[in-house]
Amino acid sequence: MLAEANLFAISDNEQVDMIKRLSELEPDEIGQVIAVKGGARFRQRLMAMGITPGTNLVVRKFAPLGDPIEIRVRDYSLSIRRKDAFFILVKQIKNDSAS
Amino acid sequence: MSRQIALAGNPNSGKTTLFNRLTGSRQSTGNWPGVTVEKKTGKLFKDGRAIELVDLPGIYSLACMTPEETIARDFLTQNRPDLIINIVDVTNLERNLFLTLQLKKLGIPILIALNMMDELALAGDRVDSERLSALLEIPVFPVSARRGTGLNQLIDDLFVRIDAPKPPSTELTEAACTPEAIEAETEDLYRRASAIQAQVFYRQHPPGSLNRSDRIDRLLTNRFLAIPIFLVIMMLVFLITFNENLGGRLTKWLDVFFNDILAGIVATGLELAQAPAWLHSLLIEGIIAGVGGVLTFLPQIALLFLFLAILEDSGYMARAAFIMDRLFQHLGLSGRSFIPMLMGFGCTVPAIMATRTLENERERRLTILITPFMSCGARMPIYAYFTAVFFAAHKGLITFAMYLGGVLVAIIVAFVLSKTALRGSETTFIIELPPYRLPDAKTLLLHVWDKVRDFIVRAGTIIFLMTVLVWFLQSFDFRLRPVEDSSQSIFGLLGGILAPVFSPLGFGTWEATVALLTGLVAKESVVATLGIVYSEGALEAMFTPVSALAFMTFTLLYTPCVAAIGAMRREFGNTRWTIGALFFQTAVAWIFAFLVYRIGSLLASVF
Repeated sequence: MLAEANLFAISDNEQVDMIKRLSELEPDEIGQVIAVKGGARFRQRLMAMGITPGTNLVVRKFAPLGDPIEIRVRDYSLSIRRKDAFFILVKQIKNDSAS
Repeated sequence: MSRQIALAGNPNSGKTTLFNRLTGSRQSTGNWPGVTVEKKTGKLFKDGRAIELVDLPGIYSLACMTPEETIARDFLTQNRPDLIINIVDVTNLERNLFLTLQLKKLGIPILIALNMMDELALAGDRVDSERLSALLEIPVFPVSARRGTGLNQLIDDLFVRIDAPKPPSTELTEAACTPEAIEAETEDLYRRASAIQAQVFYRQHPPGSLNRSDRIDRLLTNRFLAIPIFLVIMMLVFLITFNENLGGRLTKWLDVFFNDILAGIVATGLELAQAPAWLHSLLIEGIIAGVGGVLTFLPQIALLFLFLAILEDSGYMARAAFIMDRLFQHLGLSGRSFIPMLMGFGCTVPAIMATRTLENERERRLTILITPFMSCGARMPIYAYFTAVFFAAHKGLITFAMYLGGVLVAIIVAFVLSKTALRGSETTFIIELPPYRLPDAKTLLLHVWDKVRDFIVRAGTIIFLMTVLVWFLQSFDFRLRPVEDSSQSIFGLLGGILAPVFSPLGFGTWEATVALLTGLVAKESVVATLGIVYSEGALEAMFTPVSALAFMTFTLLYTPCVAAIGAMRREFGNTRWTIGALFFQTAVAWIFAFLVYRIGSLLASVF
């Protein structure tokens, strides 16, 4: 319920295409990867798991204690900490399927 | 000429299940040369011909970022197997195809076992495997490893293909090694994987809709319920394993079998044969008391391994790590460390091997250092032995306190070390949360059998030899004359020298000291030794409840057995670190046993 309310708040907003960090997205929000920052090893690791520019990511949920977060990428679920999600720049896109 | 096939694929793609299906029980486990990542090989038979099948570690990429990836890559490029079976999880096609495209570049003949076809059908999705084969230019065999469907065609085909002349080995161009080049290649391969998936995969449901696994997950990682459920699952595992009416009952039956029935039969036999007294002593008080004392715990250890395997194979272990990660961050660790630590309740050796999945060196070392504090199965007999005598009314409680104590000490040590000696680089926690799956019964049983066999082999070799040695050392003196009073034996004299070290802990006797020394070989030996050096009823005279508690605390925490020390040495890759760790753990054990004894004595005098 809460997630849906947030969703509408954003889609009514003009800044739908705003570039955000993955760590700023709420559950059920979708982002398209613009770039992965951070060290070379870290970048390669994430890219090998399929987080490459242009890929869509959906934030599924936060862990019970608030961190890490679970994202859906290329049809599978991946857990990542907020501080690492901070390095993934995404373009938030409107969520059609969740409504 | 003997032929070799490598089985490669992503983690959670059903690789182990397929391997078991193809090789049956004709498999052996060992380690890769120089490292402790499990190496499984098995034989595949057809029409009297055998091919060797090598199970590579589950990997996401060939990019050498984890030890597993390095092993898989080195094996494929250096050994160059005759054929690769690439197992691909059809329900997760895109990411699996990324690895397929990397494997294809190696130039080794390859075929695809397209697994989880049953799950795909259940979800109502469809895949065009012929088109997939055409696009990849690789033969594709739709299978369900769990149900065993489609495997005959796969086997027929690989026996034909294996005889085809080997293509000339193409040298890998190692030019693409700059970060930019690797990233460009990754992007390119994922683009191709994505394009292929789009052409062959027909979805019934829109992406993002909830399937069965998602619904289970909503409950199990629910913001409010996740932690209570996690605690209940852990409690259940321990309750079923250790409760006297469940796992404990099995142990009781075996105890009766060894110490009453078997010992009785052997004693009668020896009397009839008029065997000398020393043989009677060796067989009954030495071997049956020692080895039998250890084997009685087999059912409980098997149960514990079964539960750990169920947690792992069902996909819950990854969720437990997901739930616990936030807490582990405070200790300078990540939720990934939770998995080796939980395995530590079974056996420290595989638990330390499991630290391989940790990428961060500092995190790995810290986890290796604290994993032995998790009370392993071999320490269970020690608690059972003491609680039966001193805490008969609170056996379960005291045993639980020991397990909890180990966890608390691990937390304290990790917290202190991560702020001092092992301070340093931040950790990450990037792990796949695989779909929930019903564990495959055959895979579970093979896994448990593997561990049980290992335990029996240890009981039959190391512990057997130790038992004979202990019996000898405590029955003879330095001039090899049999002694009446064990305190005059070789052991008695040696133990007497070291015993003062343990006097402040309340158990400065030669018997307790030698029991601890033999515990270095295998923790089970502590009980075996005490069983030999103490006659019936002597235990009560030598320990008080408080000193028994201190002794249990010491055995919980001090240096693990030689097998675990060996694993530590391999995983640290450094002898100095290993020796340091051993001294450190023993010092921690001494300090905590001291605290238990002093505080316990104080409380005992007050109440």
